[in-house]
Amino acid sequence: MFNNVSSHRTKLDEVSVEKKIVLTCSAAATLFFIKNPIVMFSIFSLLLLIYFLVGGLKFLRLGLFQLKVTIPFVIILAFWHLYLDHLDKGMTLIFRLISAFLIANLFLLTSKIHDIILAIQKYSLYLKVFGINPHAVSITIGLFIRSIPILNQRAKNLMLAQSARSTKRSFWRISVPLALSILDDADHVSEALRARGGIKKRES
Amino acid sequence: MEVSQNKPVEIEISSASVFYGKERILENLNLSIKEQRVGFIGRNGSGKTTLLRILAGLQELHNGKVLIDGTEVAKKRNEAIRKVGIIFQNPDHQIIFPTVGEELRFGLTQLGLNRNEADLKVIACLKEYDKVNWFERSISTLSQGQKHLVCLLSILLMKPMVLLLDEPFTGIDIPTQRKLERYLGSLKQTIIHVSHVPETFENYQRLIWMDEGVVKADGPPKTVTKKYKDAMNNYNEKNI
Amino acid sequence: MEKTSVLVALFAALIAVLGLVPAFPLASGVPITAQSLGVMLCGTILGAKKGGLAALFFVVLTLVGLPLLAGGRGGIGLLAGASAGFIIGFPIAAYITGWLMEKTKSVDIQISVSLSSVVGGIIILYIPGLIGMMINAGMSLNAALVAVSVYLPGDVLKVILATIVTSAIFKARPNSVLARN
Repeated sequence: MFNNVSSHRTKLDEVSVEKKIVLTCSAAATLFFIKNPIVMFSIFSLLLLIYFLVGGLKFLRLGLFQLKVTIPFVIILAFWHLYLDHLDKGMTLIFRLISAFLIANLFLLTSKIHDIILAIQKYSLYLKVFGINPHAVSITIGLFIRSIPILNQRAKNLMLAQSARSTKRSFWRISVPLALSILDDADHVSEALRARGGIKKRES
Repeated sequence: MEVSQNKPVEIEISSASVFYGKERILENLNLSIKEQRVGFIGRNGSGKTTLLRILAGLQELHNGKVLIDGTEVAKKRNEAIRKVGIIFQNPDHQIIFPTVGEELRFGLTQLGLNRNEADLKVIACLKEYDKVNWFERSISTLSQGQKHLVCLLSILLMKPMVLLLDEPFTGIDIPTQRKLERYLGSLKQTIIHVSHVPETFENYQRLIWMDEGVVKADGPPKTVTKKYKDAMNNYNEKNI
Repeated sequence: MEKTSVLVALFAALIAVLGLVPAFPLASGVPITAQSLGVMLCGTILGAKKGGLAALFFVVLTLVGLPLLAGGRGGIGLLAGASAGFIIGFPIAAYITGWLMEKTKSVDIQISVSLSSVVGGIIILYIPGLIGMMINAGMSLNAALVAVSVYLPGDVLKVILATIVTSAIFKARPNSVLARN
């Protein structure tokens, strides 16, 4: 499930995930304060240049390929603003969308998912400030990542079991057994967790 | 793996009762266990799994108490996790973390070790079982038998005096089963093993047959197995 | 404590897995996915606090960069996209759905679930959703309303599913529907 999108090594792979998260978030946030289409377009061009400098032409192509998820929305934005004759605004929004994805993908393409999870787990310690138990957060993250392939596999198995006895294949038929199995899991897993000492009330 | 104890661990169950609602699961059970290999056998719903849960301190008793090496396992949880470890039937219900390394580290950090100390022990343990490359491995890429081994190792790393097994061989093939049996056989810990397969207990010192929450027979595996098998064969079909 | 953590993790994972059910991107750029069904179920089964927490957990991890949103999308870039408001609205929707479930304990389960998920999972979810479209697409409220109306049939279907699933669970294991305990 969490295969890395890119096996392409770049100069940014060496930078720590923490630094990249901070940079990515602040860069993406800045985009929302820019209203001028020319400035926005320059940022977009600058990002393309960064992709090229970081990982060469191949990486730039990969970055552009990743933008495919934005296509439907870009088309709507273009038509809508052409229709309204708000070209300035339309250009700003389109290049903001594309730039935001370029920034986010630059981070994702140059970081291992595993490192991202480790960084989240590490920094969840600071949630203590808000009275949130960091031990609980770190266990929850681990369990969450672990459960996705299990639940996915179970959904597939239920689909198979269903099509073995029926000609119809539909998601809604398996939703009840799937939900019940999750609640069953919750009982077992929390018991197994308690068997190994459970969640500590305070971090020592 | 070295074991800290030489003399057998004492397990005391005294007048233990458990009810789910009005249903009686265990009633006034008294058992004293000093043997190193003890099996529990019985049909589904005979109370044997509940028995394991009270030994692990996971199930509140309505009456009586369970002592392992003098510790009341349901009350003193911090001490209990050093004395008793449990391996559940389904590894997917036990494994909390996405990678083998994290899963094995967890039990050790629960005992108060820091991350680095824990990782050293985890790596040493994986080496001992010839699985060094497992540290970074994602649990979802392991086979069922390998997952069982991860569960076993994660508990063994915590060095409990008593190991509780709840039908740990369900759903794995015979060669893997044999391998796991060999791992278990070499352990010096006290093992309490629950199963409905009589053959599992051939080399055990003591076998206890449970039915409807009470002890039906207790003694050497050979005699208890015979009684159990006779009784099972005599069950009327309508009792199934 | 353990149970809460485990339920939050598993229901967040349920939302993620529902994103793997094939999604249909519609003309407005927001795909129809089963993920909002997961959000409704968080509320109807776990109740306000735990349900909201599970959805929040999912959203935070998605925005940090895990590709959990339908179609394998993730990352902070989503905040500039068409679905931004809906994503931010997930935890609010789950919380309100759960809150309404808790307020309607004495009502028949099917009515309680349908009502809670219509209000929490559709009305409340659409408010940040619309705001997001207005900001990110520069649309007027009316235009945004027209755009999201395409999703109504799918969302009504999800309310029906949430009702079937939650009442089935309530029948099989009443104690598990925490929102009604």
